[in-house]
Amino acid sequence: MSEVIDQYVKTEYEAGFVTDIESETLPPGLNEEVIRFISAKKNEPEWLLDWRLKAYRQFVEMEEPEWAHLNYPKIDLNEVSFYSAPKSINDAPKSLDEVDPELIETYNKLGIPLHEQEVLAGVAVDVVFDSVSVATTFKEKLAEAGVIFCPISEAVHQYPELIQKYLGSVVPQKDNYFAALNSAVFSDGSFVYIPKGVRCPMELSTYFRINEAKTGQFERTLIIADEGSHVSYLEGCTAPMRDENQLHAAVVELVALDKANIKYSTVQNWYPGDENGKGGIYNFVTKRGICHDNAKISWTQVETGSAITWKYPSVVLRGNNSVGEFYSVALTRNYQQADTGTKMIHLGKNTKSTIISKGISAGKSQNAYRGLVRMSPRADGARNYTQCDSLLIGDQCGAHTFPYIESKHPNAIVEHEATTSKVSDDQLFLCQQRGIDTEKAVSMIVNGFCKEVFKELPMEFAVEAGKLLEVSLEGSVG
Amino acid sequence: MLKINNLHAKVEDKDILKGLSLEIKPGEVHAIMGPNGSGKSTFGYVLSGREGYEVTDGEIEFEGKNILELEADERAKEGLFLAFQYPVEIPGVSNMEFLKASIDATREYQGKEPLDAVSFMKLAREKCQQVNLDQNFLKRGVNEGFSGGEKKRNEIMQMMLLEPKLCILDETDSGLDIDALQVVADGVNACRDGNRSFIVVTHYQRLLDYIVPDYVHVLSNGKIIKSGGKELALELEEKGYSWIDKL
Amino acid sequence: MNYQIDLQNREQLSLNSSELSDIKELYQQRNDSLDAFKQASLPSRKVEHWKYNDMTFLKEGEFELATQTRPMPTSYPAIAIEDAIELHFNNGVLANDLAALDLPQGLRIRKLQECSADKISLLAKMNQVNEKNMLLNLNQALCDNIIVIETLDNVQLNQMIYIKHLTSDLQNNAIASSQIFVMVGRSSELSILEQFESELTNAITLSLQQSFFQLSENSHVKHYRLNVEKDSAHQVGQVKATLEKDAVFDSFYLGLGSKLNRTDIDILHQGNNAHVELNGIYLPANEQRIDYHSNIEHQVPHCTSNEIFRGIIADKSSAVFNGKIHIFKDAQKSDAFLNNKNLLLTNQAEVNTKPELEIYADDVKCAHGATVAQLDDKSVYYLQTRGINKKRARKMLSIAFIQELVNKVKQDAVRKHLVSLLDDYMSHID
Ligand SMILES: Nc1ncnc2c1ncn2[C@@H]1O[C@H](COP(=O)(O)OP(=O)(O)O)[C@@H](O)[C@H]1O
Ligand SMILES: [Mg+2]
Repeated sequence: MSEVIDQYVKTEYEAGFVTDIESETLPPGLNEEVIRFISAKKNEPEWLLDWRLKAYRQFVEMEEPEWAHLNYPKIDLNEVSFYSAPKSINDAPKSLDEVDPELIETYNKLGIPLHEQEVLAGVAVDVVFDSVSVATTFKEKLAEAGVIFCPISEAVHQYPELIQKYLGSVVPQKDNYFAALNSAVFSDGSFVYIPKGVRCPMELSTYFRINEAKTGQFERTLIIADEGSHVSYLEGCTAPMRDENQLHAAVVELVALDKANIKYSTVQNWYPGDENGKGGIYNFVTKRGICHDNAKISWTQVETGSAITWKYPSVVLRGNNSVGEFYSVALTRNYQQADTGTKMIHLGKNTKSTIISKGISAGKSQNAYRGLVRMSPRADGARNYTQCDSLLIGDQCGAHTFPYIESKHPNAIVEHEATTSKVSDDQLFLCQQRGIDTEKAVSMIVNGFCKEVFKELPMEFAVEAGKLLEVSLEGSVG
Repeated sequence: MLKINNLHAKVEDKDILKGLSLEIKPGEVHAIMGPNGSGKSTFGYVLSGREGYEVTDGEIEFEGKNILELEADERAKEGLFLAFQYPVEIPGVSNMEFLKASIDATREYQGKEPLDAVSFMKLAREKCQQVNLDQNFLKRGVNEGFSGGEKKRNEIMQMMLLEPKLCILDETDSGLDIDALQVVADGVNACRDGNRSFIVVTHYQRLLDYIVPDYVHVLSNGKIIKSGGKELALELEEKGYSWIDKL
Repeated sequence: MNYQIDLQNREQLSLNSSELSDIKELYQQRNDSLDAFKQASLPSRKVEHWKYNDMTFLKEGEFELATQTRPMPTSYPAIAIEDAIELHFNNGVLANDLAALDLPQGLRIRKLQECSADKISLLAKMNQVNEKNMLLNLNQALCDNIIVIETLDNVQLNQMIYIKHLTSDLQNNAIASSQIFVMVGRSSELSILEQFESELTNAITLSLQQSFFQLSENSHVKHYRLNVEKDSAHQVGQVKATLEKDAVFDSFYLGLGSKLNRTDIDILHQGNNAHVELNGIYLPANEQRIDYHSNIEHQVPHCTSNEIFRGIIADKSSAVFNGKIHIFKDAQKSDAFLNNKNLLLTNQAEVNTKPELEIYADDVKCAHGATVAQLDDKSVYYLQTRGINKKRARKMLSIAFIQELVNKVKQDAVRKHLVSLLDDYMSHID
């Protein structure tokens, strides 16, 4: 089988084209001036500049974490440009018609239609290209329902009370090295507010794309679901093929007030580097949500891209009876490395969490699940169930599991299980014997392995995720 | 022996028993029938003192004593026995150890000498035989890996060992084939000594051919809505539970 | 004599001038261990490997290296093993006269300094710098009490080797240090029981103890390590075993008592078809802290491991369990299973568990599971309806929770001893 494995690692990265547009890019390097520049560029109020500077000062005191099961050369921040915007954006497009046609073309290539036919699909899209939000569709329709969905840079001006109250309330500036960096230099991202009792009439969606060479992308997303509201949010990411590594350090904060329900789905397909491990995105992301009483936050992620993934979407179950979920598929191949998982912090009574993690390692990749389940002394009747499965394809890769379980409450119940399996020759042979070719067979087996997670994705995403896995796996097995 | 007056009880904020009254004299056999979900098992749990089953109104008097404040084990030692509809499995605790602890506790409460190991074993083996359980069961974990029928027979065996005053049998017939049913019924009938009373909870009339009741009560929605002699069971069987809705 | 260890001023430490330090096969390794000890941070919550332990006692400054042996006080808890070959360590120092032991054919027990150079080199290898646990490096740098237990090939030893470790009679803060090195010949069988005891003291005592096992081809070792120290004792210990082809290491642990008991278990599968069985029970109560860190390395193909640890955590105590299975690249057809279950009895008890897998080969069967829960309400109720009071019911269920592990101890005398220790424990907890 191994010969076939070798010859198989040949798939091209489908989203790896470069868009040829003029852009305004800051020279590499980070200092207070850069932060003032970014803030000025966005015409930000004084308090936000101060907030960024405070984060920066904390950041310079911090060290890059080394505990993850990841191996990469230290990131030289002097090589990274902290701001890049398509030039034409400066003229602030008011509607899709005004958006640079090159950009529209880019999204079309990516299969993200921004046209009115989208109404049918019922997906509202915000697009973040390099660091700037370029278009938000269906603003009006959302406004009817009272839903706010706009670039965070815009929200800073239009809804300053909300931003001031919630920005950094879930992920404080000094939470970790990358969050501090993001707090200092974040460029743009999405802002969502769902009013009390409102069920958001459509799926909200953001696509992120890094285009410019040697740029870092530092977007920041803030979603606030007011009491009793519901929202489902999708996030997709791509980047062009480049030889250098590009840094992506995002922060996502979710606030689910009493009885609110947030579903956050990600399909992450940043450029993973080539088959020799050259290039690719370094993805260091901090995602966290807070649940108040009876609220629910559900993270679903399909991670197939990035050279390095460092990501632990978490839920702080502060309110009684609140619910946290984490469903994850992480696929690594070639020289990709992923260290991803979740934290479920049970503070309130009768809080429940479920973790389903599926790791698939192929090629020479390393794929680690890292999780924390913590039952505080107040978490009476709390429960967690964790299932963590690894699938290995080939004998050159690694699959690792590092679950931390901490309990301080006798009535809290934690259950954790982990298994490892491989795509066996026997399985493949059986499929072949029944006329199914190997590639198809592997994709079937992998899809079956991931079923529990895919079923959590919104319909149109589930199809995309399945296809993505198939494409990513092409060439990984024989 | 048992006097229940206007019993109301709830579980997790759900009212389940809503004014149940019943009186049982020594030696009597009462059958309680009712559709699924009518509160039969709940009734057994409330009588036996299960935590979380809260009595909100009414009284239960057992042998002239108010037992509402007693813990489950104290009620058991007073002579109240519940044969479970779904006996729980307790791996790691052997049946033998379990039965010995149970008998010791009961005898101590009654002011009797503890049984020495030899007499205990003799007694346990004897009872096993009576309900057709292999003696190996004594060594295994409580109900661990037992079949449905074996669990039920184990319940009857415990009843015979503990010699309670009042036995509540919660659907002891369900899941039993005819032979097993005969064994269980024989066990119960052997315990009928004129003083011991029984509450036989069942969904079907079938069991009552084997254990003939003095009274039959129909429980619906947490209340006894009809009582009668053993012919009531036959009538119910014939007309179905939908019949009682019209009562 | 009277070697002082100031943990706050580690850079000033130099090797103890002792007989063992002078042996050239050992010198390099002792020096390396000392360097590693000096360079590492002292254990604290900031160090991943010590994350959950309060080690502030190490800040107390000076410790003296315990050297003197006193007459052995009578053993608690008594253990009756017929025919056992007994070795006694008092404050880390061997109290027996080895020459006076009546040993069966094929078994040899000596001090390290009496062994040949090649044996000493083997031990030096076992004493390789420890990357995770700096206190073991300290032991490796300064340990002067190393006993080598050795069997020839094809020896089936019926007598149990019983090693009693006692810390007692220490007035000043002190570190007791010792190692045993067990070398089992091809196709030989051996059983060995280590029991750690202590007396209550006001002084801070830290016992550093490492037991090394080298299992040759097709050898079979049954090992028990029982920690039953009093509430003032600290122990940081290690069991490290290398397994050659077809070897079987069956190792059982009991953690009961002590202020802090930290035991690292390192199993290295180095020959095909080796098997390890690790079973353990930890029962911290009062304010005790018990911490087991196991690490099983499948370095070669076709090896198996099976590990079950259960803990009941009472009062204000805490437990840590960290179980790692590491499958090396090329260690195909490895089969590893790990299970850890915990019962928390009170609101102030705490457990931190982390079952880990690190896998670099694809054709393997690995699974682990961990749970934290309380006693099952339904079972308590069932027992109550049979007249058994709640307290008793809870005890019966607690014992049941660990019964499976007790049953794994096949040697009658050891199991009886274990049961009596457990009975005693159960009578003290609510
Ligand atoms: N723990 C519980 N929490 C909430 N409802 C319960 C609980 N136990 C039983 N019930 C409800 O109480 C009713 C009576 O149940 P049960 O006594 O088991 O009925 P029966 O034995 O007659 O079938 C049912 O509607 C059941 O769903
Ligand atoms: Mg029922």
